[in-house]
Amino acid sequence: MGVWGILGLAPTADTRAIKRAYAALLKQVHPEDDPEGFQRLREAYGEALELAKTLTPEEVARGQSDASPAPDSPGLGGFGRPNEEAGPRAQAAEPSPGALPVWGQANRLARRRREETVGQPPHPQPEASAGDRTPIPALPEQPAAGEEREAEVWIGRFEQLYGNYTLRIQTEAWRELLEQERLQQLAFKQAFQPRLLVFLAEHPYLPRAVWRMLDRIFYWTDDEIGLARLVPPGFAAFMLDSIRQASELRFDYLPKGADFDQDEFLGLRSRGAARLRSGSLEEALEDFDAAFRLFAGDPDLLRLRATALHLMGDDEKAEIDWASLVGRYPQERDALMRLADLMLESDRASDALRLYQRALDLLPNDPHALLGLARCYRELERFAESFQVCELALLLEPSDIELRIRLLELLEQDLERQLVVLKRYPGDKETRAAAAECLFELERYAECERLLTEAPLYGWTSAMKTLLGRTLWKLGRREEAGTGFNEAVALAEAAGQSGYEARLHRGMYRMEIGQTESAEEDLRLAAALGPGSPQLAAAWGRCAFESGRFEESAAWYGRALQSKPDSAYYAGRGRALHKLERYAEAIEDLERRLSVEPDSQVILQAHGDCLAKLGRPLPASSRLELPHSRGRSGESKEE
Amino acid sequence: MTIIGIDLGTTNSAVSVWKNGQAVLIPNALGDKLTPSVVGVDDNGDILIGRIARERLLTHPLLTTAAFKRHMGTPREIRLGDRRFRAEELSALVLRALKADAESFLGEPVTEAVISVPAYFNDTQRKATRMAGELAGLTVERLLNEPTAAAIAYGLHQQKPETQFLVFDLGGGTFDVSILELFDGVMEVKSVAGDNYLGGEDFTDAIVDHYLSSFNVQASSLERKTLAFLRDQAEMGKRLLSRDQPIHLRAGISGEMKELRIDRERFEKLVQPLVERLRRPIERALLDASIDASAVDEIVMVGGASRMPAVYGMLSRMFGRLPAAHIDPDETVAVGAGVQAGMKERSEEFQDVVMTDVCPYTLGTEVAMAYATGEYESGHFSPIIDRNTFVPVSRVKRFSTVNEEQTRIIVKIYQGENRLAANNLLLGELEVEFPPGTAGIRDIDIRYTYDINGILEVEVKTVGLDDVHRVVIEENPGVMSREEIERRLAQLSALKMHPRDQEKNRLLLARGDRLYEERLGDEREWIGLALQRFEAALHRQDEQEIREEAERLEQLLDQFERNRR
Repeated sequence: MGVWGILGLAPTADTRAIKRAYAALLKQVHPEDDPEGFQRLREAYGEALELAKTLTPEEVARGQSDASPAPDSPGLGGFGRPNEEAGPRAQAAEPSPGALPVWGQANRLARRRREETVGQPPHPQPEASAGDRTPIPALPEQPAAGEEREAEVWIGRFEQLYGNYTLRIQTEAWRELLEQERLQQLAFKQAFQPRLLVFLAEHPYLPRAVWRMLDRIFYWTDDEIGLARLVPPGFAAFMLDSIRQASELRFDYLPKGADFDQDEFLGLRSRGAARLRSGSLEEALEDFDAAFRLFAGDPDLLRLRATALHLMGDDEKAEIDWASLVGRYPQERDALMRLADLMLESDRASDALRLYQRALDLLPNDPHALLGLARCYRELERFAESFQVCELALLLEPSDIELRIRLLELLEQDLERQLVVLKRYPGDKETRAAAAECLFELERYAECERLLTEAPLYGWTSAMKTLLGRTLWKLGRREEAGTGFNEAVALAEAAGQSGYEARLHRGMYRMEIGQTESAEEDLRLAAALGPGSPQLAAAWGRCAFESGRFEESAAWYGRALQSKPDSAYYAGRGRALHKLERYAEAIEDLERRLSVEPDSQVILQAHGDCLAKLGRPLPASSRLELPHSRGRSGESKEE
Repeated sequence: MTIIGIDLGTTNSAVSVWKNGQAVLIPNALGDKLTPSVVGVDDNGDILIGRIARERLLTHPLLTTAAFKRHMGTPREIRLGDRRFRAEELSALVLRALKADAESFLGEPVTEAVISVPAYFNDTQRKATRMAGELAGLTVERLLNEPTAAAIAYGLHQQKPETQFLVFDLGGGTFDVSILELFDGVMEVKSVAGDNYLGGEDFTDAIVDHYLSSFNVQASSLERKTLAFLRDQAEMGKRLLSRDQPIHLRAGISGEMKELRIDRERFEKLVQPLVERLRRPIERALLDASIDASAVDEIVMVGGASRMPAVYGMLSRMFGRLPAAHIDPDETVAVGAGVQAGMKERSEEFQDVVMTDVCPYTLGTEVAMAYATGEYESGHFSPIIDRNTFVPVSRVKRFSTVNEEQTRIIVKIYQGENRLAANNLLLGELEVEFPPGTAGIRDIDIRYTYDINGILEVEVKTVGLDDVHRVVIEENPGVMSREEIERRLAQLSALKMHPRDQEKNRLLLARGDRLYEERLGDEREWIGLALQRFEAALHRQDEQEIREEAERLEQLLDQFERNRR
C-alpha cells in the first residue's frame, strides 16, 4: 500500500488534512501497543508531508482520480535533492568580479519560510520549479516585513564596512558589528541570512578572519549540506574555501587610499586563484597579470603568479616573482623555498643553499627544506653532509614517497660520481664498495654483481663480500650467496675487523634458508660486536618469528622501531601481533605498512584475517568493490 | 494498581500521581514537594535522604553526597563513610524514599513508576536509571524524557488546537532542548538536542572557581568542608545574583578569612562560556525539526537553572521575545511524569491523547571499508537509526563478512554523530559465529529496534541461515551485570533508612548544626544553647515538650536565616 493508501487519502498538498488523517489513525496504532503499525503509519505521514511540499496542482488533480501515484512520479524527483535545479548553474564555479551571481535558491527558501510561517499550504507556482532567476519581490502582507526591513539596514552596515577598504580589513570593526545582539536572534538571523548570502556573493572579498567570524555565527562549515541548499555549489565552495583557506589570501598588503580599484584587484586575484586550483593556468595567469598591473606589491599575488608561471614551465619569469617576493617580504618561507628550488634546478646551488638555510631558520626540521638542503650539498659535492641531511629527513617523515624518490635520485647521482672516479682509479676499493652499495640500493643487482666481481683483480674487503652475498641472494643465487657471506666473515676475521656487518647479514641469510640455529649464533655474535642497530633488532625479531616465539619477535621489532620507525618493522611486528591474536594492535601496525606498500599479499592477508577475526562487518554496499581483493587473497593462498 | 510519576533530578526530586483527573505532587514527610537528591549516612550508619542530608553536606561532607546523577551510567563509585556506592544505588535510595512518601500518601503499596530522564541521556544512562528503579523495588513502566514530561504538563493546558513549542530544560546537571508539535490530540516530539554535562551545577562551579583563582588556591589543597561551604554560598549566591544583588563569598584559607565580592555583571561574564554552550543545541533542534524560530509559538522554560537572568537573556536575544515562564520550572517535570503515569494506567481522560517521541542520538555500528586496491580501513561508523527519528522504530541494514575464512562477526553497537566509530559511545557488542563448514562471504542483517523507553535492542541475522539471531549482550562498564545487581540489591535492602517519624526533628538538628558552623560570635553561642535545649527535650522523650521546643528552635533558625539572606 502506498503512502496515500496508508493514510486513506488522495494525494493532496493540504498538510492540515494529512495531519488530521494521521491523528485519527494514530489512535488505532498506538505506539505503545503496535510499534510496527505505528512505524508504518508514521513513515507514511512523514513522506506525505514531504510530498505535499512538492506536489503540483496537476499531480493533485491526477492523484484524485488515481489514489496511488507511481512511486517514481515526478513529484518524488526533487525529494531529498533540493538543489537539483541549481545544477545547470553549478558551472559558475567562481565568482566573477563585478558580475552579480544570480540564483533563486535563497529567495525561494525565504519565501517558503514565509509561507510556512503564515500557515498556508504552499501554492505551487510553475515558475518556481523552473528555476526562477529573478528575486521575488517582498509581499507587502508578510508578517516578517519588519525583519526584512531591518535586514536591509544591516546590509547597509555591511556595505559601509566593505566599501571603505581600511575598515574592510579591520577585524575589530567587523567584530564590533558582528557581536551585536541582534545577530543572536534566531528569527532575524534566519531572515537575514538569505540577504547576507546575496550580499556576500556580490561582495565576496573579505579577509579570512571576517569569514571565520561569520561562520561562527551561521555555522556554515558545520553543515555543508545545508549550505549547498542555500547557494549554488560553486559559491558554496568559494565560501567554505574562504573560511578555511590553508594558504591565506591576505588583504592587509594593499596600500591605504590606493589609486586603483581594490575590488577589481581582489576579484582578479581570487578568480585567478580559483582558476589556478582548477588547472586553467593560462586564464589564471591573465587574471594575475591584470591584477599585477593594478598593484605589484601584493605578496600573495606574487606567490600565485609565480606558481602559475612555474606550472606553465616559465621558470625564468617565476623566479623574478619569487625573488621580488623574497626581497620585499623576507619572512615568506614558502617563497624562500620555491626560489631556492628554482635556483637549485638552474645550477646555483650555493645560492639555493643559503635560501634553504634561511627557510630552516624560520621552521626547523621541515622535510622539504631538508631535502633541498641535501640536494644543494650534493651539487656542491659535500656528500657526507648530503646523506646525513637526507636520512634525517626520512627519519622525520618515513612514509614520504617524494623523499624516498629524491633519495634514490641522490643515490643515482652519487653512483655516477663514483663511477667516474672508478674509471680513473679502478683499484680504489672504497669507491668501488660505495658504488656497489649505490647500485644495490637502486636495486640494480646485476650491475652491482658485475662491479663487485671485477674486484678480484684489486682485492676484496669483508664489506664487499657481504654486499656480494646480499646481491647474489637478491638475484636468487642462494648457494653462491651463502659462500659470499662465509667468505665475508672469514675475511673480517683474518683482517682482525669486527665483522659485524658480515655476521648480521649471514645471520639474516641463514634464517631465510631455514638454518635457524646457526643464524641465531651469527646474530648473537653480531649483537656482541656491533652497536645494536635497528636492523639487528629487526633481524632478531624475524628470527624469533620464524621459530614461533611471537612474543619475543614483537618485542624485538618494537625495539627496532624505537630507533627507526621503518614501515617494514611495523609489518614485522604486525605479523607477530597477528599470530599473538592481538588483532587490534596488529591492524594498526599492518596498516602502517600498507600505507607504504599497499599490495603486499602477506600483509594484506594478515590484515584481512585480523579484521575477520575481530568480526568486523562490512557495509554491504562496500562489498561491491571487494571481488578484486577477494581474487587477490585467493591468489595469495596458492603462493 | 497505581503508577507513580517520578522526576529524579540532579538537585531535587519529586513524585506525583494521577488522581481525580489531575496530577498531584506528593509531599514528603516534611511536607515539601521537592526532595533534595542528596544522600548521607548518620553516625549510626543509617541512611539519610533529602533535606536532612542536604543540611549535612556542609557539616559532614565525607558522609554526604549530592549531584550523583551526573555519574549515572558510569562505573564510578562514590564514597560515603566506609561504604562505596554507584550512582544507581544512590538514586535507588532517593527513589526508595519517594516510594515510601507515595505509599503513605496513597495508603497502599506502590510498585510501578514512570521515571523521567534527560532526553539527551544515552542508552547506558537510561539503563542505569531503570536499574536504580529496580534496586528501589519499582518496576519502571516507562522512562520519559524530561522535556517531554514538561511538554505534557504544559500542553495539557493548551487551549490552541494546533501549536509548536520549544521546551528549554536547564536542570542541575543536564541541558535539553525539545521541539514539540501539538495537533488533534497528537503530541509529537519533533527533535531533541542537548548537552549531558551542562547544568546549574556548572554555574555554581564557575563561581567557586572564580573565588579560588582570585586567591590563587588549588581546590585540592582545601579541606572538603571548606569547599562544601564555598559551594553552598555560591549556590545560595546564584539566587541573589539573579535578583541583581551582589554576593560575598567567605572562606578560611590557610588560617585567614578571605572575602570576595561578586556582582551580577562579573557573574555574567564568568558564565558567558556556559551560556554560549546553550546556543548550539537550540539551533540544532530547530534545524532537525526543520522549522523556523518564528514558527515556534512558545518557549517553555523548565529546570531551576533556567531562572538565571543570563540564561533568560540569551533566550530572549535568540528569539527576540520573552520566553513563557508561566509554569513552575521545578515541579513541571514531576507533574508531567504524573500525567504520563495516568496515561499508562489508561485513564479515561487520555482516550484521545497520543504522545510520540524521538531518539536523541544516531545509532549505528562499526564497519571496515574496503577499497578497490584491496585495502581495508576499519573503524568507520555506519548509522542505522538517524538521530531524531520517531520512536518506537526498527531499522535493518545489510553488512557482509570481510573474507571467506571469517568464522564470526562482532557487531559493535555505537551511539553518536562522528564518522569514526572510536569517537562515538560504545554501547555493547554482539558476537555471531557461523556454523562450521559454511565458508564463504556471508551477508548479515543488523536490525536495531529502539523502543518507546529509549532502550535499544539489536538483532543479527545471517542471511540464508534462519536460526542465527541474538539480542544484545550488555557488557558495558557503565551497566552492571546481573550478579552484581543481585549483590547490590542485597546490600541495599540491608541498609536502614532513618525512621520517617523523626525526620522533622532530625532536620532541625542538622540545620542547627550547619548554622552553628556558619556563624560566629554571639550568634553561634545562641544557636549552640538552643540546640542543647532541644537535644535535652528529645532525650526526655516528652512529646508535648519536644513539639514546643521544636517550634521555638525553628523560629530561631528561621530568624537567623532571614537575616542572612
